[in-house]
Amino acid sequence: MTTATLFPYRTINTSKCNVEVAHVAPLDITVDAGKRRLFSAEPLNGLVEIRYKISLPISEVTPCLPPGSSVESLVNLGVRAVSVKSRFRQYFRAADVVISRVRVGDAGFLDGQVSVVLDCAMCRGKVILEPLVVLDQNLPRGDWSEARAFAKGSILGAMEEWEVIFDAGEPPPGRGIPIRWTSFKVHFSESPDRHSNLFSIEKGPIILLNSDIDGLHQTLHSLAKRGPIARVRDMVYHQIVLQAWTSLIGSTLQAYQRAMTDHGGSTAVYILDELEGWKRQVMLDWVTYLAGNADVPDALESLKQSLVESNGDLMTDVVPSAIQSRFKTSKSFDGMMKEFSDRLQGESHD
Amino acid sequence: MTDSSGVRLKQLSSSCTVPAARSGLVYGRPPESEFIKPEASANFDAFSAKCSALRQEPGNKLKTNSDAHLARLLHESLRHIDRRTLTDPLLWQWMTLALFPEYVAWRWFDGFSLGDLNEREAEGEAEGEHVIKDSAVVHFLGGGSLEGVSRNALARLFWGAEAAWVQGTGKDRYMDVDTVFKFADLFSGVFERLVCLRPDAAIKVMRDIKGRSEESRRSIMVNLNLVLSTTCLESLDMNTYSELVSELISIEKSG
Repeated sequence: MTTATLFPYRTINTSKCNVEVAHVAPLDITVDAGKRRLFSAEPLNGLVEIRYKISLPISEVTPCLPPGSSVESLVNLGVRAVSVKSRFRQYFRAADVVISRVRVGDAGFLDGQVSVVLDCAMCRGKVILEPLVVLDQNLPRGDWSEARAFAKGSILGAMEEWEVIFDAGEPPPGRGIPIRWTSFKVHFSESPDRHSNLFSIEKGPIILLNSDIDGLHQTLHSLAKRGPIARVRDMVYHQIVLQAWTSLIGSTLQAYQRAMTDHGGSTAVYILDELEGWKRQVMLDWVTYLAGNADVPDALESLKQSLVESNGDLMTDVVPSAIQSRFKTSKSFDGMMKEFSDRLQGESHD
Repeated sequence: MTDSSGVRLKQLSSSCTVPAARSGLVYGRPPESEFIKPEASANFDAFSAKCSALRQEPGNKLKTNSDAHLARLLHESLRHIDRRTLTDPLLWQWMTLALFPEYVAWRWFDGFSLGDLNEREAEGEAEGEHVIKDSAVVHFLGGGSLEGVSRNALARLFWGAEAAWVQGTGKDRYMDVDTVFKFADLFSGVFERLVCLRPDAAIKVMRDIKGRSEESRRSIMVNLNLVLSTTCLESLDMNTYSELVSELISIEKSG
């Protein structure tokens, strides 16, 4: 179950905000059920820096403030870092909030850059980073029907959370596949046919994403919660997820089948132990979905039986179906359909 | 996977199998006992001696009243240890189970000794029931969550004192420790909420509402929590936060 905060005042539609996470070294990114996580496979030392570039249309902010207010002096942009395990909460405020205008006369954008610096010696477990737009001054209380925030510190808008995971090491691939951006023109310099691919799976396993594709990084790293960018992002993610997991599960099932042949008569759990580390974890994570049984040992036995019978349905039918139902890929399709129908409606009105 | 709250005290205290209690064998990664470091040594003599002395004295009120004093002693023993070690839940579970189980039993289990508890648990088990409730086991096994820390018998003492501790060379750097432990409802009301992650804010509200009735304290904490769900506490300076607390108190006063 997810919870949502009900704000007793107008808030900013953050789907129209653009937030880029500009620099995350030495961390890697993983995506688990749509949630972005930063982690390091190696123990971290010293300081970790994560830089945010936040840009929000002023036209979205002004309805939240009294008419005629100077937006840049009333709100601040920042990133809130909260960690229960490390026992701290801290606010990293944008050093400067400036207005940028594309054209003269535009309301323009409120831009800010935030540098989140975390000391590894102070951090443990999960640190949640949440970009915020915050009211920076107390305002006179207006009429309640105006529904405007007036207290200093009120949150006017919250954007998508990222998590930084300390101590986790590399997350098991069964729970999320680590991703890394790289130029395919450099990485696959001897295979030009791969230069325009979106992604590739490397040993580990790890998903390599092609940084040469225009807009791919910006789209996939957009923190939009709603709106067109979020819909395109989810669609692309699901496309990658479906193909990547099909390949990983296929490879795991093949290995399991080979182990079954080598250890005929052994129990399903015993055979599982014969698998290579990541394949064992993929199997553990997916077996209940593949076998349709919530109990792992029972699900393993049932899957083993299906492999013995080997009627070919597993890879062609069961695996794609399990991935789609687990990641609810139809949601992103619905989102895209909504996007198309909105656009078509807009065009017909024009 | 075994839920730590379901793990029986008897098994734990007899072998101090903290890692097994938290095995989380999902991915076959044994948890690391990184708290056992040569540089992380601490001298618990004063704390230990006070615990022993307290156990000899009768009276239930003594237990609550002893919290602030013991918190000071425990904090003095541990405050030089690095923060990553101190935030390791295994450290506190190890301390409650291996170092000071008798204190935990005395403070939270009706004054029974650990031996008594194990005996009672064995008798109960034979009849198919657990004498030691899961809700009480948390005083030994409280982990890294807000609730876990505030209920682990030793972690609560340390982090309560840590919030109140004032850095520097002042006369009494533990001036607010009594405030922190004066009322159990106030302690859990603050330390089981996210506000406790900003120590100055936690101490401020405790100081300001400690003189009010329990009902009033609860009501103010509920309202503070509600306001903080739409407020970025981290971005507030202490003056603004104090005004917020004062306003909540006056709202509560006016009923």
